[in-house]
Parts: sequence; C-alpha cells; structure tokens
Amino acid sequence: MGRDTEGVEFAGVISVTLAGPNSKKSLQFGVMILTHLRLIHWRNIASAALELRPGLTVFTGQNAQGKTNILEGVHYLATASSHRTRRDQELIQWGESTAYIRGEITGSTTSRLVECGLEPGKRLLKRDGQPLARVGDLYGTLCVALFAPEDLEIIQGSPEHRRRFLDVTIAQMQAGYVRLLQQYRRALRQRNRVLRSLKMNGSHSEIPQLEVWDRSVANLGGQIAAARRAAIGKLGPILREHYHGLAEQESVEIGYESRSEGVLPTEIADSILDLLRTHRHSDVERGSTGYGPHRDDITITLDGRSVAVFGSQGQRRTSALALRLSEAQLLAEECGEPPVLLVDDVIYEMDRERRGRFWTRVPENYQLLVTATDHRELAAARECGGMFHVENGSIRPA
Amino acid sequence: MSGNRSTVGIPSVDRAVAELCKLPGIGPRMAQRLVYHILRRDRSEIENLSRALQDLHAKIRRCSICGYFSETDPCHICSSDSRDHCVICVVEQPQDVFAIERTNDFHGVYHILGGALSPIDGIGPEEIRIRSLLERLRGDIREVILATNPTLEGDATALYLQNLIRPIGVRVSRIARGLPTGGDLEFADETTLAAALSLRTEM
Repeated sequence: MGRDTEGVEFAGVISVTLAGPNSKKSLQFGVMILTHLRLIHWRNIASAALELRPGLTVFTGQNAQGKTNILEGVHYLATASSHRTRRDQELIQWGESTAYIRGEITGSTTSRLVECGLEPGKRLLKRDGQPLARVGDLYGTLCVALFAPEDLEIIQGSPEHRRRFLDVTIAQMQAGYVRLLQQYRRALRQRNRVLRSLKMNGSHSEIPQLEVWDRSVANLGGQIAAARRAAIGKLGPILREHYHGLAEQESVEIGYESRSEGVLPTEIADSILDLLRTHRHSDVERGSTGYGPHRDDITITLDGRSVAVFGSQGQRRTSALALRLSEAQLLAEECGEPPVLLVDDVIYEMDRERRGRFWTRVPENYQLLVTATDHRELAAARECGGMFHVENGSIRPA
Repeated sequence: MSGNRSTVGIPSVDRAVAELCKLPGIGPRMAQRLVYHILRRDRSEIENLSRALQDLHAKIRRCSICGYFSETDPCHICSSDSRDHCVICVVEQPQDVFAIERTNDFHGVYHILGGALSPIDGIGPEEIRIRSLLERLRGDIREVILATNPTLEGDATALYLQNLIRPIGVRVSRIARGLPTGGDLEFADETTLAAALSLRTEM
C-alpha cells in the first residue's frame, strides 16, 4: 500500500476526503499534531507530561477530576484565553504562585514549541523559546476547535458570545485580526472618553476631536465587519451540510446582523461613519458608542425561525455542535491543516444515534482530544490512539 | 531567600541603584553592574559624569519655536540659514527629530508636539503643542509634513491636524508607511505589508 494513501500518517501530508455533497473534492492537508503537553500547577493538575498520538486520545475519569482542565490548557496554548474564565488567576493551582503550560506541535513541515507562564497579573507567552510581544502573534501556531458545554451560549446567550466565537475563529486563520480587534477596542475607548467629556462640558470645542475618533472607529470597524461577513459567508454552506448530517430536515441559516452595510472594508467604514455621525447625539447622552462591530450579532435560524427563541433544547445543542464542526472544517480549509479538536463532554448530552452521526462527521485524520466518563462507546466509534485516566488532578496512561 | 533582592545593604550603593533603575531599559541587575563599575573608576571620571548629567538640566532648554532640545534659543535648526523655513515637519517627540536628521534628507524645520492625542490618557489638543504650530502657520509656510507615529493615536493626531491646517490653505502631507528598505517581503508583519499594498505607488 502506498504511503501517501494511508489513513493517518504521522505529521505527513495525506489525502482527505471530506464528507458531504462535495466529497469528490479531495483536499491535501498537512497534519498538525500536538505531540507533547506539559502542565504544571494548572488548575488542579500539579504536574503532568503527556505524550500524545495522532487520531483519538481519550481522557477518562469521574466528574470534577480535571479532564476539562487538560483541554482548557490546550485551548489556552492556541488562543491565550480560557473558555471558562476571563481571569487568568483562576488557572493557577490553588496555593501556588505560578502556572506553566507547554505544547509541542509537529506540522507537515516544521515543529514548534509554545509555552505559557502565568503569574498573578502577569503572563509570558513564548514560541520556539522567543517571547511573544503580542497575543496575536500566538494565534495560528496551534489551531483548535473546542466543543464544550458552554457552546450552548453561542446559540442562546448574549451577542457577545457569538461575536467571540466568530472572532476566535477568524483570529486563528487571519494573521493580524487580533491586533485589529485590540486597536478597535482602544479606538472605542478613546472615542467614548471624548463623548463623556463632551457630555460633561457641553461645549462644542471637542467636536473636531470626536470626528477624528469617529474615523478611527469606522476604519477599524469596517475591517472587522468585513472579515466577519466574509467568514459567515464561508461558514454558511458548511454549516448547512453539518447540521443536515447531524439532524433531520430543518434547514439552518447563519447571517451577520449589523446596522452597517457593505462588503468591502471601505464601504462598511463609510457606513459606520454615517451611523456615528447620525447618532452622535444619543452617543453623547449615553457616553458610549452605539454603532459598530462591537454591537453586531450573528443570527442562526432553522427554517427561518431563530434557534435561540424557537428552537428546542435538542435543536440548540445540534446547532452548537454543527457550528463547531463547521468552524473546524473552515479552519482546516483556510489554514491548510486541520485543527486539533477538543471535545469536552458535550456530545453526551445527545442521544446515541446523534453521537454516532457526530463521529462520522469528523474526518479520520483530525487529532481528537476527548473527555469521557465512559470510554467504551467511544472506543467502538473510533480507533483509540491513546487513553489517560484522570483522577484528582493526576493523569496516568490507562 | 528574604528581603529585596535589589538591595545590598550599603545605603549609598542602594540609593544609586534605585536611581539608575528609574531609567528606561535598566533593571536592578544592570544598575548594580553600573554602580560597581562606577566605584572602580577614578573620582575625576565620576565627577565628569555627574557634571555632564547636571549640565543637561542646567543648560538644555526647549526651543521656543519648535520645542526641540537646545542650548540656544532658538535651536540650531530654527536659527540656521541653510534650512528651508517654509517646510515644517511635525513629530511627536524630540528624539524623532534626531531620527529624521540622521537621514540627511530633510532640509526644512521641525515642530515637536510633545505627544499625541489620547483622551484615555488625558491628552487632548490643549496638552500638546498644537496652538503654537497654528501660530507658526500664520507665517510664510509652504508645506506641513505630518510625521507622527503610525499608531492609533499618531494617526488620529495627524488627521486632527490635517483637518485644522487644510482650511488655512497650507499643503499638508503625511509620511508614507510601508516596507523597510533592504527587508525581505516574507518577513514583513502583516499590518505593514497590508499598508504597503494599499498605499502602493504607480510606476
């Protein structure tokens, strides 16, 4: 058998066939594999050094033993953020003053080392031993798609959850996007400060200053909204396919909801500038900016009706799952390498039949890190490359 | 281990270390190295150093025209006959003047703002030297080159100035942003490369 047609070849380039109507299309992927994971004083894990294999790795154990913490660590190495908390302090083991995590990634051509050290109020990120000045520089080194119970919030939570989902996805495939978001946030803060001092002083001498920040917000906002619209445009057809594969007849649609219009960054920027100028008075009254991508939303509908409002619990779960599968596929297509899939419990909230369908939607060459209280069903669904037992923060091969 | 690692228990050494630590780019270790180095030198040498430092504040002042550091007022650039006083290059900091002077390519004069607009840091138009720039424009000025930093705040400041200056009828330009000369395209950061592409020039 020729090596190049074999299923999973470690760190090599293999040929993958994607499920669905376009399955004739065969994509050449280099495979990105997380080969080593080191966790020190991370959550309840005092020390762990894991060697990971391509394909499926299962972390078993009772609830609240630390399984999720492992996936959270991998997610942190990819995005410098946790899906469970915004406060890094919580990631450091209780009673310890520092936490450290490290991942070794082997891609089709190179291998890379990412490290993160945490101290209260301080974080040091390194790639290949070099400190990274900006968080945005870390993105794209290790690509992940995390399936977590919290994903339900993307469907039914506040718009912020949906914007964050989309932003993290884009940040992993578009260099410079994180920096763009940071700059936009800063421009908003600058503008809001001028708005508040306008409200306090009531003088018009600050209007020329406001106009300058209007333009900054509009220009940066136009670039963000354009990237998001483009990503939604690509996600749409992929999402339809995955939702259909997981569930039944309903047809799912995803759309970008914004008061600004246009496709090109400059068109959207003009539109935002218009909105800022038109609604300047209410912005001054409120002391904050009411228009721009920080107020946009993503709509997900089933047969034209909002899943968040009209969807059953099952439909919401399926939508969240399909959304993550779509994210993974989009990352694979855009980055040329499939992301590492982190699957945390979430699939056990579905019935056995849907779980079975879920596994058929995940291409064989993806590296999968999965938590499970019971691994037997998983082992039946897919060949297992490695298994670890997690108990009270200690991890050992099972 | 106990106590502060940057103190050695000798008051005058600790004081010198603490003072040196306030300088940019100097940490406790570097400060200690400098102090021990200074201690090994002749007394006369140290006196030279301390006099040089004292002179900085005694003799250096800001040029009343452009705001640059100078021992004379106006500064050597503003008082030079060989410079074109009709072209003003606006920069944020005095050290930016030094950077541009090194090119030997600019023969106009400067205006130092002393910062950039940043409302969240409490810096508005009144806090930087915009008023004095506008006063200079009453004279015979042909062009104002805006050379503020290519940052969010530097760009905002340039736009703010442009909005003020253009109605006066003076030509306003902004320094270009793009790739460093002699650099490899593949190593350019994406923001710079994107700017270089969108601001490409016709050949």
